[in-house]
Amino acid sequence: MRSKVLLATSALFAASLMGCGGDDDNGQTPAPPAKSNEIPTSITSDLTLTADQDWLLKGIVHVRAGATLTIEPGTTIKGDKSTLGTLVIDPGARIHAEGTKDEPIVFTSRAEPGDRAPGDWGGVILLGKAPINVPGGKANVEGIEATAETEYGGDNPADSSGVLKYVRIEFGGILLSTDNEINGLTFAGVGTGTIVDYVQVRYTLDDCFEFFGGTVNAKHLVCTYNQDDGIDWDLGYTGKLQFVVVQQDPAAVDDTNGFEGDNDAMGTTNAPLSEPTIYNATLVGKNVDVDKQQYAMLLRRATKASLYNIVATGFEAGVDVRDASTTVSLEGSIFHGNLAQNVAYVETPEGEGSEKDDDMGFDEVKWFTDGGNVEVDPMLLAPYDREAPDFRPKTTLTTGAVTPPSDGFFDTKASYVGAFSQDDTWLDGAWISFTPH
Amino acid sequence: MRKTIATLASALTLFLPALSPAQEGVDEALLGEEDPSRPAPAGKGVVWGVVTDAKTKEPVIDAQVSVVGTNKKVIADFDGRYRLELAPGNYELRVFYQLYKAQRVQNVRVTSGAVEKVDVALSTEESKQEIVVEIEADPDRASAAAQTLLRKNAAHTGDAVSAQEIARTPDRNAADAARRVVGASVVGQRYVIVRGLGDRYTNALLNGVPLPSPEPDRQAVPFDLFPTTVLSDLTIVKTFTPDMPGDFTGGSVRVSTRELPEKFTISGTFYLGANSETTFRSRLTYAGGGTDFLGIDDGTRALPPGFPTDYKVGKGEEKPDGSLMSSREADELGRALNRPMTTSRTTALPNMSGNFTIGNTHRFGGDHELGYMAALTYGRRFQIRQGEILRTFTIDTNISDDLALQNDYRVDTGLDVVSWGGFAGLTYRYAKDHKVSLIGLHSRSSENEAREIGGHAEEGGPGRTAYDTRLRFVSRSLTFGQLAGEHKIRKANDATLEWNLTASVATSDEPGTRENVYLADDGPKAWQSTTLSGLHFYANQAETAVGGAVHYTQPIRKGDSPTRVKVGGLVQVRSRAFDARRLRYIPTADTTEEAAAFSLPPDQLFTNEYIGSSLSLTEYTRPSDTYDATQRMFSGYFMTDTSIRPWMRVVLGARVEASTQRLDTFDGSMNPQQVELSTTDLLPSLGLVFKTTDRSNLRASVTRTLARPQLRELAPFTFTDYFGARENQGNPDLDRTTIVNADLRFEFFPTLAEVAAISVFYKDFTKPIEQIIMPSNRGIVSYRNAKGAQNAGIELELRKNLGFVSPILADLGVLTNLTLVHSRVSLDGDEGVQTSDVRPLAGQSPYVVNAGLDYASDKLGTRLRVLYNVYGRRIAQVGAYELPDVYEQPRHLLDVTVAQRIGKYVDLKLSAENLLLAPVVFTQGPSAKSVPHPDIAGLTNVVQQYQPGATFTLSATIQN
Repeated sequence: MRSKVLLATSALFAASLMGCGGDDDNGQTPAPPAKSNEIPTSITSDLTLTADQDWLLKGIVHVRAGATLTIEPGTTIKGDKSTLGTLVIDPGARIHAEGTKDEPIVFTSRAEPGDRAPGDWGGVILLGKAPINVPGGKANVEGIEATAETEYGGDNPADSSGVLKYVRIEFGGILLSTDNEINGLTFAGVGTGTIVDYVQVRYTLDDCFEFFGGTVNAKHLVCTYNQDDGIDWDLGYTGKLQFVVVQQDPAAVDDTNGFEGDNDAMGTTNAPLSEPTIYNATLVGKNVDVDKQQYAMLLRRATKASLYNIVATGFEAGVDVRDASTTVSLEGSIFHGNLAQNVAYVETPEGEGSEKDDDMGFDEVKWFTDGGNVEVDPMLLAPYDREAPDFRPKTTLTTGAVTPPSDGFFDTKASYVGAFSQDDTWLDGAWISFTPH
Repeated sequence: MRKTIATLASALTLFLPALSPAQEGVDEALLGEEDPSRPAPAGKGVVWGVVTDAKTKEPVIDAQVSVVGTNKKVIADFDGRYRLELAPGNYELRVFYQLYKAQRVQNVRVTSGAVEKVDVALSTEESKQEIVVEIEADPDRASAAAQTLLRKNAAHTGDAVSAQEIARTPDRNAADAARRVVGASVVGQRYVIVRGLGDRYTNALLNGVPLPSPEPDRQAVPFDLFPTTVLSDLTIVKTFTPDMPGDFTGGSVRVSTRELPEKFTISGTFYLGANSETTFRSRLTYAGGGTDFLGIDDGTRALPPGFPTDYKVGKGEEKPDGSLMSSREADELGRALNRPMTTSRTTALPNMSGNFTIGNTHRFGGDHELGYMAALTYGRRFQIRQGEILRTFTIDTNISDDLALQNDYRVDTGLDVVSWGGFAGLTYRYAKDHKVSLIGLHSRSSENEAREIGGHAEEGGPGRTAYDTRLRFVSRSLTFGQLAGEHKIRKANDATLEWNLTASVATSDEPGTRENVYLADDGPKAWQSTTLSGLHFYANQAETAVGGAVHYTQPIRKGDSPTRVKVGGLVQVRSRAFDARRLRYIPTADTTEEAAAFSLPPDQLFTNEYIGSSLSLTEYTRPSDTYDATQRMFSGYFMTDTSIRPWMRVVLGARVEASTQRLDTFDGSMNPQQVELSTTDLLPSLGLVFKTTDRSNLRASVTRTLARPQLRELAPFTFTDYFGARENQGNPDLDRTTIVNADLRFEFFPTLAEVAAISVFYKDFTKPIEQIIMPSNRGIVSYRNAKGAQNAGIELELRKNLGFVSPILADLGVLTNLTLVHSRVSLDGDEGVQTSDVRPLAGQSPYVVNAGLDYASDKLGTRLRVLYNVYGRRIAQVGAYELPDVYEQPRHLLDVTVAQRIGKYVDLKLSAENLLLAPVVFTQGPSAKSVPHPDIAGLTNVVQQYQPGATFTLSATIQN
């Protein structure tokens, strides 16, 4: 069964590279690719992707340290499936992808509209030099050949990987290696110098947004219809997020959570501890009884977090604090309509499954109430609608809301619960799409 | 040194015993090539010794040793050494040389499998009467005679196991047999490691030729491919001499195929076995193919006809014409590929196997002889592992050094292992000086596995249960063909020329491994789309080796200080083609109705109905899943063997090995990748042998050897065993390791059939290749040249007959050997997140012990052997992020074999293995300890544990 599968595809691709002249070693600017719409696999000096044509993302494309990849507003980049098309911004490199509300930058499938599906290509990975909690301070992304150039993590919390604004990333999440699907948008050791605002990730096989350590802040993150968690953090992530909306796919087969937070995979207390601060999120579950556990927030493995003004609805249960070493504060939030247990399962040592104590007797329900959180109907307009959702409340949910601090990042006007006030329009415009396939 | 040279030569020269004295052959053993004390061929015993001048004590070269009443006759070599291979019985030897008085040695008892030493001192006194010496008939006389004429030492067979020796054990294949060698241990019932050094430091030779490996990720040759029926002997050489490939440090494992018979031989054996954990119990299995019993898949598991082979499968994959595959096409292929994923149960039948051997030698036209030997073997055994423990742990050293339980699974495995082989050899000999032989061997073994894992999966949440089912079939084969010759050139002072041409192919085929994961939460069990779930995996590897070798030995000087030189070379080109495809069904349910199908059991979910709606086939074969690789080796050597004094021999020489390893594949960005490592090394060797007394030797040697990186370790791409936990990434900057070896050995032969030997050794490694763990979310395995490593060790060996206690115990003997090794490797602490930077070499046991009791009565036709084997705990997996290394714990193995000869033709044998029911245990950390966990009482840091059970086998051999 000597397959020529990869010989053929890669030979084809290799041939197309021959004329490309890209050379990592001498730092020369890559010549235009043989097929002029293909992005070269190693970008060693500044390169601009223009909006006048669609670009093809083939193979694992690295923007190398020192280089900036600029993407014009309105540009579409199509990821290839056969070659695991993935864009990696190496530490020290930058991406400048600044679209507009009506001329967004779209990373999508190469397939024709109507035949697009999760897993049609890889995703976008930003690597930076901000602190992570892996012993030694550096780590590699699984599925990408580990080299000195791609090792992320460092001691520069203010590091910048560039700008992502009005960007949509969809139909990605292919398996990058055997046990490793790629997230829609991965931040690994990314610093606060990076600007992330108005980014939608949808229809990806894995998490929408995953943060491996780092300090990056982000606003206006939209995650719809993916197959895993909405926001996932790990390895000592300490950034700030505001205005986050997650809408889950009721047909997703796995245990999917709105937030899934770890300190690290082993649950150690290695520093820096994961401790994101999140204001104003609307988390919308599947709203059907599924066979797998599904929480608005699964907080575990020694993470910390400060969560404010969260609406969580339509999950199996609102929250699970998975182990005793996990310490999270939650205030000003509303849980409503979570199907099995609106707030949390009552866990006892004798319990079965979700009702088995996993956190040395930590009482999530008491913790919820003590934090001033409530179980009332937020009256969201159409949170479960697939193609035309409306996550806004009928009336802005100001009761009990916490005013975000004035620290230069948070929008202090958002003194309401959820990602939206009743008349918010930030989901309008061409940058957002809810159309399947 | 002599011994190691000799064992090498015995492996290189084929069928020498075929030139056996039965044909009135003159078998000239050449010093430095053939050890006269090497193990006996099957069914025979050996008498050897040294013929000396009684006055000068110098060897008598060319002395003639004949067996009275037969036409057997051999001539002593340059050291005065001779060797006779005889059927069991009592013989009388006659030793004669010009100008000396002939001597007769009576009552020389030959027992099957035994090697006896009978030295003879010839005198020149002018007596007409022949001196007659009788052995053993009268102990006093024998003892007295020993003073003057005879020296009876047991031959030191220490590092070899003969076919006859193997026959006394329950061993079925070479891997089992290797456990019996001093300092050897066997990993995974398949790979031999010597002095505790991993398979990187062991090479494998069949009839003197390096073997290709069927393993994708390691260089190791699975020795269970060699059924004992086709073996003549298994020798482990621990000291390098320049006439052998230098890529070993622990040991060179040499397997020799069977020698030709002197007369018409036919035999057959039938085995029937039962295992305490398996036989007649319920075995997990699944629907296989019609030829599984042959160890070959009949196509049941293969990719379906018409399945694309030159492009990936899945919606949106680019086809050669540039178009993208549609969902409809992908779904059609998904339906065609779909194979049942369900398991079933059946009753495990007893193990059964059999073999058949036939051979003969024909003589014609006076000087022409033609011999043949053929053997067939077939076996099938089953194994059940019920309740195997599989766990993972976590640790947070900021809080405590205690481990915490993460996942806790129980595994139920049913195995069906088929192995068979065929061997044929043909030897032509002309005028006693020329011999040409042709052999062919094919061996195959398959492992068919159905496995279910269930248990607590922390990843999924507390108290939730994951169910993983895996169906796997792996078939490995080795095909070996060799044409070899030996020529004596009388005109050139009896120089000898040996040559061989060899071609071999090792294959591994893994068609259609399937894996599926279900998870039970509060609700019913439902299919889980983890990355291993819905998997169909195909892998295929073939490694071909062709090459040849030449050895030329030129005697320079004869007499009391013989000297000769030996030159030769070996060329081998190996090429490997590896190819894998990874396919998976991924969830594509668009509605909750379609998603409801995921709650169905696998036989209802994986159907034409749901492939295309709820599920879709996709392929995630990586560029590096296809690669080609070559290894070329050119080597030549020169060595001298000089007796400076009658009591001191020097073997000095050097080998040059030029090697190129090259691998062609593609990197993650689909750029062509080529890795090449070319090295040329000079491997010098110095060996000294001091004949300290009549009964003892002191040997010393200093040598340099090397270890090359394995192909995958050089490859810059990441790869993962689909079932493995961690990614693996090679390192193209790896260099080969060089090792300086120093060995000192003292051996003492107190009496007949007895030996005591002590060895010390020290090995200094420069740039040893060791695993590191690169930081990532879970850790990526890679390889680095460590700064250095040192191994120091002691080996003790004792074989003692208990006849000294009481004559009644004369048939009883004890044998024991012990190896102690201290090992340290130092890694660069700046690289990687592995927990320990200073530790023993991975796979290195601190001790290996074999002990046995042996009873053999030729009179009663009864044999009994009790064997005990244990190795010290060794690192099985390097730990990372403060998790301790995983150790394989010692297993105390006790095996017993009883055999009884019935009449002239029948031999019955009953063997029992693992009578102590030693479990296989792996722990996180060197020793077992308790792990604090609120839920599971008495939990220890065991990460894997199972009970292989005791196996009892009854066999009957019928032999002419």
